[in-house]
Amino acid sequence: MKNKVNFLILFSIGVLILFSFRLLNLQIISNYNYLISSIRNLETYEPIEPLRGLIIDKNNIILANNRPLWKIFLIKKRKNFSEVDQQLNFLQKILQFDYSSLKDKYERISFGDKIFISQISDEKVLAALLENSDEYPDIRCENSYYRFYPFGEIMFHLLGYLGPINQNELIYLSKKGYDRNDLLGKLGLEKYYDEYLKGKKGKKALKTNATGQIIDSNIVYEPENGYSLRLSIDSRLQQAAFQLLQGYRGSVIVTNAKTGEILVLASSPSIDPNLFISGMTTEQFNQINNNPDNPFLFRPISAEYPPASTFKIFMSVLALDSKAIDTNTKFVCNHIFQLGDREFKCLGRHGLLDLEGAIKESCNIFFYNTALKTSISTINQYARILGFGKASGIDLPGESNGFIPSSEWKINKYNEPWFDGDTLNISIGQGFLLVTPLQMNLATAMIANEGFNYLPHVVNEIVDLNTNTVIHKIEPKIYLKSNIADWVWKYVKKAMKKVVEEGTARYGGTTAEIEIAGKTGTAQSMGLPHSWFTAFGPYENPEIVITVMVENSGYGASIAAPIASILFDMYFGNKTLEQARLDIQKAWYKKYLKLISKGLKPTDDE
Amino acid sequence: MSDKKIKISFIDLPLLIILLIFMVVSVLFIYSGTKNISSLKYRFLNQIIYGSIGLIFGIFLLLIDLKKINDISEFIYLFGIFLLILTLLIGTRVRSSKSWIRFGPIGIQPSEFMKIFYILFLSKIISLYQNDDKYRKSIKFFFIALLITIIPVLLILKQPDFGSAFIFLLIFITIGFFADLNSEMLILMIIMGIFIFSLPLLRVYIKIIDTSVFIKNIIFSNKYFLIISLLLIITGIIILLISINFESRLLMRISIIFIGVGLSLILSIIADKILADYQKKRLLVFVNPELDKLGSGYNIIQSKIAIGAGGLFGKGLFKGTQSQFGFLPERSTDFIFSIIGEEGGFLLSFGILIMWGIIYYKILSLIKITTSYYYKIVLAGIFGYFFNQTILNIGMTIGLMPITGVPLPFISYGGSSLMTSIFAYMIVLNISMKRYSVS
Repeated sequence: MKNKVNFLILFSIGVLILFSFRLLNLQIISNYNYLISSIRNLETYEPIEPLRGLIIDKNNIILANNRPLWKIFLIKKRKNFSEVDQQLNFLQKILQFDYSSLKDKYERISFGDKIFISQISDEKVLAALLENSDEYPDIRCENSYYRFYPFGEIMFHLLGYLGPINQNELIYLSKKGYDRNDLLGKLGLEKYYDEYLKGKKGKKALKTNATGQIIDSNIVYEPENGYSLRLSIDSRLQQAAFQLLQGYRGSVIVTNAKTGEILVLASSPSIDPNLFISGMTTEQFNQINNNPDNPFLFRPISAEYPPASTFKIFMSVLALDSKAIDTNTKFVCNHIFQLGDREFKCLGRHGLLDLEGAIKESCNIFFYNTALKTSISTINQYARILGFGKASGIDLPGESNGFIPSSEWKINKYNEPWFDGDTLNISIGQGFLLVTPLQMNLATAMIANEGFNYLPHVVNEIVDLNTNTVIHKIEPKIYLKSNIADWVWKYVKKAMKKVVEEGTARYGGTTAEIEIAGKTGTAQSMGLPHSWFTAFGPYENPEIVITVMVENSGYGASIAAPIASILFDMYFGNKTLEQARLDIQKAWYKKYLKLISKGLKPTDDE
Repeated sequence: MSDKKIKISFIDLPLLIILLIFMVVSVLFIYSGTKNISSLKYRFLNQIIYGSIGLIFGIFLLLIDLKKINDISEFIYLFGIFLLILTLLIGTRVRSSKSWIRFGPIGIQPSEFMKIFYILFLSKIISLYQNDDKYRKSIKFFFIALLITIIPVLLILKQPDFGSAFIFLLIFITIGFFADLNSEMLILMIIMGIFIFSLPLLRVYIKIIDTSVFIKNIIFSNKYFLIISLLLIITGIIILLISINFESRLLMRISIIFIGVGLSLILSIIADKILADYQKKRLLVFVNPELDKLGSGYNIIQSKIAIGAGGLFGKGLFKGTQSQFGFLPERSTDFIFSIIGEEGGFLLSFGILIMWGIIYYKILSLIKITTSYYYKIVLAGIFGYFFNQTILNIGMTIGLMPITGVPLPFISYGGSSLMTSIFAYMIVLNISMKRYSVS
């Protein structure tokens, strides 16, 4: 027995020595590492969200701001999800959230980590939540903000909205400091200027215990709030334009011809962006998504249409400049134009016309004749000079290129040569030609300025509203400049004035305040035609260019032109929408009498 | 009267001082570990009360003639068995185990007290044959001793409390080693024990590390293992028959190993079915806690961080972040040594090891000195109890032993555990005083 005792004495001393070495190793040799681990257990860093920059219009009216919001998180304090079941059931009586996906997430995260459950913007709900906070100790409520757009659907496409960052976006944005919990501008300016708007996150050191309860917190560094955008948009006009488009699908663009500033960029139908932020029901989302009117489409810059008769003013520029015709050239309009065995029609029977008359009356036959004197390649070349067929580079995402056909393109696409009939169609803005309303507006500005225009932009200044300093100012920048002779521009401008005075827009293009010049267009389409009107004013010293495009609504003169007229009147007379409407009506009576005395009938046709 | 006076002065003072130190440390660190938890913050008071009750009964055990207890030890043992059965019938479930009997506000854990009842009874039975070496070494007597052990073990497994059951087996092996029980059977028992756990552990390990499907299919197929074990048993029986024919002891031993391993493989398949995944993981993760970071590995990782962060002098009483902010689980019970490590540093935790070393040494030396065979076996049992339980507990907290959930005697929170430790300790002190009176 003595040997056994001695053996066990040695054995237990051996074990104790082994344990002592282990303690020595843990507590002395690796002490530093474990100390770090214990601190890391305790301290977590959390970002402090910066305030997103505001978006304000040219008159400092707020278009997008931040409102307080409370984010609800579930903190992992327990091993099994079933242990928080009761708390979540209780919580569900107060606010709605997706219960099903929580279990999976809960079992994947570490102790003390949190899962986002829901958010509250309604203070009443918050009060109800806090009142019963004892019932769900694992729930944490954090202060935050949500984006609010006071103008709602009036500016939806222009401003965009914020949404959670998705996997694909995260892949390329993670290099730029975005992380998976960030919100990202999904459309419009929120998307285009996201990096300026979002600001820089701050950092907060939190001391939490094992159950995620915060014991102490201090700020490592403060967040930097995002820069704000001051737009060139005039929200008063934008609102009026949107109101005028109510019930239609279409767009209104108002730009400053002297700077490229965009005053109005309205698109209808639209969506209230606040629905995205507050979270919409699946039903609501489907309703929007399946709407055949496609409210997501930002029509002024993304939709492409045949320009119809508005294109005649650009045809005129090219025909004169390329010397296909001159100001003395005259053609006879007999309502029908025969090309081979095909008949091309005019809406009227205009008789003998020169170019000015043809623009004024929007005579197709004159332009068919002109088309035969030029070629598709010339048209293509001049259309490019005027800015068609390419995106302008406006500071908004989703701009379309439009399309200018060419004979090569037609061969490739349809395996068919370019026919003269195709050129005829192009000459009156039909056929393969597609333009965006913005391109139309910019080309009109080029006529107004007699040979150049400015790069369009929505943002005027990027400002730091805290210090009231301008970070970046967008100066007017020439976009397109042509070598086309001055007299050509002057000629076309004058013809456009005639369009409004006594031509196709003599009814719709009436203004009380200034002289304007414009061109109507009525694009054939399924159902009612698309209605175009593009105009500038004042005639002598063009300041703004207005382009109105209304889908499937009727003649350019009857639908689009009156909208433009009201906006001109509102702008130059600083009037309300109602006042402008009234004044235009009065002005129209005056004009009516004048037209009657001249023997002109105020018709609605082209 | 005068006799008793003499005895009191014979008390082993260092052992008494260590007991008091342990009890103070226990109360302090239970307080430190629970003061932030409102539902547990009076645990330290309970521990003081249990300790005081333990000491009062302990004084009785210190002064009593142990021979008197020897006389009634079979009744005590049967009483313990009765309590264990009662636990299964009317016990309260705490977490997943039904280990407690509640009497109003007081809960007792019969499996703790049973440790001392069992040691006393087994020692009595063995000491009956202290002069009959041959019988004591026989296989028959081995099985008698095993039966005495296996009854409480099975009752405790039923709760289920694997840690405590395991302690009984370790005490049995320790006593068996001292009392010269059949050594071949002891070794066989150890081998079988290892094999029984092999399959569940292997399988859960394979599950964690995620190997090829081919290997998985083999390891998770009960059929393969059943065939292997049957082959082993059949081979064993054939060898056994041959050995009987040739009267070869060597062949007989070999045959028994074959049969034992074969049987334990079958038991292993059963164990794999009985044990829950988390229980298997607990036995395994100490090798690499990262394998199950959020589950069973979490406790070990946090415990090691706590102890490691303590450094030489510790973070100071009540100043450990791991313990005060709740990162350490079970910190007043199973993982109390981790707080001691964090707040008391190397100095205190090493000091605790040294004091345990002194206790082991004193008990083992006493085995040498004491003349009574019965006392020797009792001391061996108590040594087995203290040694194995401290090594398992402390080993667990420093990541050298699997998670068995056995308390650290004297220090972990728990009245039954504390009283049992005190009683065992008092018996040691009692015997240590006897040596003087006897000489």
